[in-house]
Amino acid sequence: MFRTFIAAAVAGIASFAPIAADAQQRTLTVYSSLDEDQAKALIKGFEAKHPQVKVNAILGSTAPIIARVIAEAAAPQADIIMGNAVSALMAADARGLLLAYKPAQYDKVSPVMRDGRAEPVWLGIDAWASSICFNTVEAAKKNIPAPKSWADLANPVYKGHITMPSPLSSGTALLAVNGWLTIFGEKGGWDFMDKLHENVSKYGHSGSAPCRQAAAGETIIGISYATPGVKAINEGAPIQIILPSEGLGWEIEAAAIVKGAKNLADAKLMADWISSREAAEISAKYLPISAYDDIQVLPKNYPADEKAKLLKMDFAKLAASREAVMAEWQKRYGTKVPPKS
Amino acid sequence: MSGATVAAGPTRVPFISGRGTRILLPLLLVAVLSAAAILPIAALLVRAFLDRDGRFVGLANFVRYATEPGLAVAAWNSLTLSALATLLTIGLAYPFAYAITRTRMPGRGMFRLIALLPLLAPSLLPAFGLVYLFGNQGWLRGWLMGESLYGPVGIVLASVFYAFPHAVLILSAGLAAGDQRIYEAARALRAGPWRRFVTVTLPSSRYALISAASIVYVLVFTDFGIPSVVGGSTNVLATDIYKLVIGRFDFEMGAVVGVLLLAPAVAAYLVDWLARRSQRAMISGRSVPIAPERMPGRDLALFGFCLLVAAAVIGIIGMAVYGSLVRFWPYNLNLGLHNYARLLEDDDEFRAIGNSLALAAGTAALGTLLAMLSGWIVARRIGPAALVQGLQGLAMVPVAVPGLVLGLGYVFFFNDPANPLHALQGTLAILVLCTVAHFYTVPHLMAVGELLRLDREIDMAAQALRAGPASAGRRIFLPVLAPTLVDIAGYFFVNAMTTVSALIFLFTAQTRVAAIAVINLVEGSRIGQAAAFATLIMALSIGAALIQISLRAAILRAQRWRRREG
Repeated sequence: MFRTFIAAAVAGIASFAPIAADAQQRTLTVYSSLDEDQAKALIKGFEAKHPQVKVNAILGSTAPIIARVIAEAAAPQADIIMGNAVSALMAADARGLLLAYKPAQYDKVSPVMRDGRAEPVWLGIDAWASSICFNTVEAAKKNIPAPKSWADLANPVYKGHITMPSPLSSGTALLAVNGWLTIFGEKGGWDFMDKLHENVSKYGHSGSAPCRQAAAGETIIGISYATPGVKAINEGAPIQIILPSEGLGWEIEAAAIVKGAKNLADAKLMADWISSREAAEISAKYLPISAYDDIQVLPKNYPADEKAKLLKMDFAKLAASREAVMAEWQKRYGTKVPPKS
Repeated sequence: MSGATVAAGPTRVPFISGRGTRILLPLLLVAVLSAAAILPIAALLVRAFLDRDGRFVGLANFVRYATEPGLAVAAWNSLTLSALATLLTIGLAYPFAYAITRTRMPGRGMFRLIALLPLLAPSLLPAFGLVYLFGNQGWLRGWLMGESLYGPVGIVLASVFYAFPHAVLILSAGLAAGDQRIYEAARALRAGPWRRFVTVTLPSSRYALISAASIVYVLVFTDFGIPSVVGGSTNVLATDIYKLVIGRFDFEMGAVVGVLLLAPAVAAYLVDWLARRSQRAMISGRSVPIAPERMPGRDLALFGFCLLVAAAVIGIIGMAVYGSLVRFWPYNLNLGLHNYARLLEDDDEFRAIGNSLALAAGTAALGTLLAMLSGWIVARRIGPAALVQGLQGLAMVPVAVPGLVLGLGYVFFFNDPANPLHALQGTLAILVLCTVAHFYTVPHLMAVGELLRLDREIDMAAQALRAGPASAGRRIFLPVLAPTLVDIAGYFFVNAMTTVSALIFLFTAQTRVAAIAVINLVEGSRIGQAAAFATLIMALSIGAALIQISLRAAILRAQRWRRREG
């Protein structure tokens, strides 16, 4: 261990100099917003298949990673984005920063996980859906019933006990908002959010934070997605993951090659690997929805019926209305401070 | 004050006598600062005047931003909460700095270290500490009298905690030096202790007080981390920039907010300029170092006060460290080292610590050199007035720029293939440069403050001794400035250990630092391990601070001339 540390310090100092291209080994720079363990497992699988390629992975949250790709447009540093929300990838695509490529196994991937365009830019890796993290211990203390549906959250009994991310800074929040607009319709959706707003104690920036706050007892209900809830349960938090009865807004995490990639050939190899069944089997250990429909694995403590509850969503329409939804949200809830808990 | 006699007249600095050097040196510093801070920041902020395709649109983005709902509320919150936090911070930091520099109460060195703790801890620790103490499950939530932590209360509490060490550093640097002869004169005139404080101490620390207040105000005004963790739904301008740039990828509107956030820094610069114009050297060649007298009543009262402040600082950080030792806060409070054990299984985390140490060492070395040089040029007005004033202005910019703006600006600037420095992209060197730029303002002000107090007779002594550049540096300036050098290096080092916001856009797989690893752990819901890693970073920083303090003490001990003989 100590030796690793010394080696690391030496490597740290050595890296003051620009890294010279290694003649023996090829390198591939991957940006990823997947779950850290999932990203590392996928990379390990790739390196086992292609030992001549060394993957340099930069892991970060969805939006900062895309902001970085946009900022680096003059001389792209990333070769491939291995996992980011499709809606965020589309923001990069709209700026012409992504390269169309049809990975080797593209046609075997379940249709919903494909880009669908004649020249596909992204390939689905997994999908995540909005859900509720509910702290049973704090709820029992305050005698608060578990919600069963989204509509329940408008009940004044939850006043001050709900946190959610702001759709202005979190893709997870946009999932939920798009879900509500799909379930309740345009007018009904905003009416619901007006009532929900009366109960929300805090709009944050991170999609996983509401679940962490529920796990720490700082809130009773966190509108988030399942993975951070599952992790909290595995750590011992009194969390129940509730998938509301009306259905769940959801989104795909996908891979896309960066236009101008310095290691294009290897980026394509990576895209091919991601399209393989083997890679999908790795991803399925972390999220139940993977690129192959017939892989049925349920991660430990993951709610079983997530897949069944996914809403039928019109992604093209939602992408087109993204700015308008954000503006409307800011107008309604960005200006006034919600009531204190 | 004898310093006044030499304040007028041309500056004569021993080894910068040639006209050429007197222009070249400040020019060089302006160029370095421009490349490291100003041009990258401008590369982002210029977008405030462009549309997405890079066409000039004048003030259209500002108009668009002005019509955003909620702006007035956010601006008002930013202005008032920053003012409140500044008042509280200075109110606590001034007596604290006074106590550790001007009294003979016991434990002054210890208290100095404790005051620096907030600087040594990654911001995650105080955030956890405050939540564990005052959040909905907090042990002391009753102290908030029914108010929620999440909102203005949390923002002000956390801001005071965060800004306190900066204020103590600037104020104690200002209070540490003085001329004992003035106090003796005051006493001969039968001025009582209170009167001596009001008529001598307070006016002579005025510059430090103004600097500290403006730095604290700007720091709080531009900080994004605090309102995003404990701000609840209280909007401030600094979070707007995150929503615009990161949430909506709207770099143009984000740049508008970035420009607006510069406003308090411009004000601070003007205030500083006015204050510095009236500042005269406090220590002349004939000065006698301050020898605090023993005043049991005052010393006891201040000791009690420092004890309370120290308890608050240690309480907040200690609570977070406690959180790293329990199994799962707040539902399983069994103590153990399992979070640390799980952390140490991962080689990547070790590499991150090695990178952090290399980054911190590089930042300390480069930053100290540059800050001393620019501080010296400003304090001694070397070169044309416009150039000197310009340098001072440039040095004030970084403190007002959120890390997000600096980091993205770095990408825009250095990642441009046309930039001759493009090769730096992806190296640890670019992280060093960025971190030096990010934390430049406070060390620069520390250097200016220290050099303003040493009057030019010391320069003249060097000249009279016909000391060449090398020997004047080694035999006169280095010894006199050694304690300040150590303090500045320490400041850069510990900040580099904990900084995140700018680096998330610049790190690579090879240069990922520990503070970024902590953020990854939080995002992966490994809260206990994140707290454990943050605690490890703090332990390393405390180690560095202890080295810094003992080095400083050793220097002062070795330099007998600082004490009054006989």
